[in-house]
Amino acid sequence: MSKTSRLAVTAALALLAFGALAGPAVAQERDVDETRKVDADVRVRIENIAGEIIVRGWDKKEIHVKGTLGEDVKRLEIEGDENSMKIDVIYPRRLRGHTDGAWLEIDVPKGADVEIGVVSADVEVSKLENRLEVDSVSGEVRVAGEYEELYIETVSGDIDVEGAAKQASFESVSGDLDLDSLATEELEAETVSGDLVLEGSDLQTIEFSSVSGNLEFEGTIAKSGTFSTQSGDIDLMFTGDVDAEFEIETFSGDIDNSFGPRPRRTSRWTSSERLSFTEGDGKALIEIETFSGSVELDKR
Amino acid sequence: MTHDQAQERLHDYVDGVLGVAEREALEAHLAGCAECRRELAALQELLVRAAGLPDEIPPARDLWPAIAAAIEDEAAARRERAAAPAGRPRGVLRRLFAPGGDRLAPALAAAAVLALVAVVVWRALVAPGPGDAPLRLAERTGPGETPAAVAAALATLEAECRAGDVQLAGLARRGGASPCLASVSASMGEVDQAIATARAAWRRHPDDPVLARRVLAAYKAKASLQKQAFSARCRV
Repeated sequence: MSKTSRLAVTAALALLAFGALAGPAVAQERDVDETRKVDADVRVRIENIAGEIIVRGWDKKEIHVKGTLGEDVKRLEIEGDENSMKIDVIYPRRLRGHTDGAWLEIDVPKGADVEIGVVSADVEVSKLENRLEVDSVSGEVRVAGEYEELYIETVSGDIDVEGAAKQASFESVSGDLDLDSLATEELEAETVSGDLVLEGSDLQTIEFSSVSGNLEFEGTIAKSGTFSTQSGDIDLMFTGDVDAEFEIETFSGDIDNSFGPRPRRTSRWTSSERLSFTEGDGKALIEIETFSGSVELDKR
Repeated sequence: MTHDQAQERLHDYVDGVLGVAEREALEAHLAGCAECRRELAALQELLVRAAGLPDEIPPARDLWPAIAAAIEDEAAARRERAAAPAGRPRGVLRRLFAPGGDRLAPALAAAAVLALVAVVVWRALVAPGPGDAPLRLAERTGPGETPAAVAAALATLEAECRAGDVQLAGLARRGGASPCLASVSASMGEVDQAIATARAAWRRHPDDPVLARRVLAAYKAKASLQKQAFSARCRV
């Protein structure tokens, strides 16, 4: 073999070796745009780890998924039939470090029963009318609409809800709950340190429990309100006519009551205080119990 | 460890639930504090005596034989009256108060007591219907106000949470600190503090039902938090 030929073969072998060592071609973002025919009350399950999920209700009997899959997303799976559809963003088995995730806008029939499971992806839902369940770790959750049932659970992401729900249940570790003008028949909220803010809300029943989260409520409670915290403060501002029986108890917190009656000590050896009084006919029952959190009752 | 801190931890020390560092600090304090040693000895003696108590203590006397006899006497008296010749006056008051006569009064009293008990039991068993007033916080959140019931519920929750702590520690060692686990662990410290505070207060005032409910609520918050940590989405 001539010297030139040997050089050429060596160069070719070197290029091949380099190509092998370099590995497969770098993954890229890619767009998705898919549509499926479904029933008006289809059950939809959406799973994603990171990125963003936007769900909107519409009048068509179709699911439309449009968006972008990040570099390290393996694929988007859309499986099921007219009754039940699953939209799953598939990642490699072992995610190395941070992932950009997937950004999806999903239109579903407004009567759909929707469940969304995310880790750090933000979630935004609007214009749905049936049942919505969101399970998040750190993603922010923003919901608007009028629901039959609303269940939202988060670890550290904040929850922001506007609208109405016949039944609503929220669970958070440290994420805050901002329920603006939420009208509901039954509301349950449980946090460890997350705060709950309810403004302009007309409720039938509410149950709130927290370790150190604070509650700020402004609105009306028609049937019953039960509030219990370890050290979180409870601040209730009632609007309109108040027709309720109040029972408040705290071990070492303060009770500040604008309705008039003063709390009394329940034991000469502790700082425990109890306050019981009735406004109007006492139709509703408001019970508040804290260990060291303060209680403030106001009326507008 | 200060004297006050040691006092607050004596019960946990006797229960064997203190961590290693706290136990050693407490034992170091005990070595130099006669008052704490006396209190510890009193606690330990109380536990020994409590363990020796019988499971049941029957009442001093059985009331039923006397009630049964009174009812039988009344039945016999009725049979006698039914068989008595016509015209014989049957004054109720004479029967009630005549010495050596029918023992109607005790039987009536026994029947009244039974009726009262039946009403009380019926009212206790009948749950409020949809149109009734909502159950109160004390009725809904606890296993009942008896110390034994609260202690039993607490023991179950404590055991569950201890097992959960061990599992969580293993999870963190194997999987590293995912952002979710890190967030849950941070909140776990807050819940543990709430448990310790509520327990310390309840120990000083064991008859306070509000404090009992606070301790149970704090443990339930911990169990709920552990469940979050074990969920699949928290391991990503």
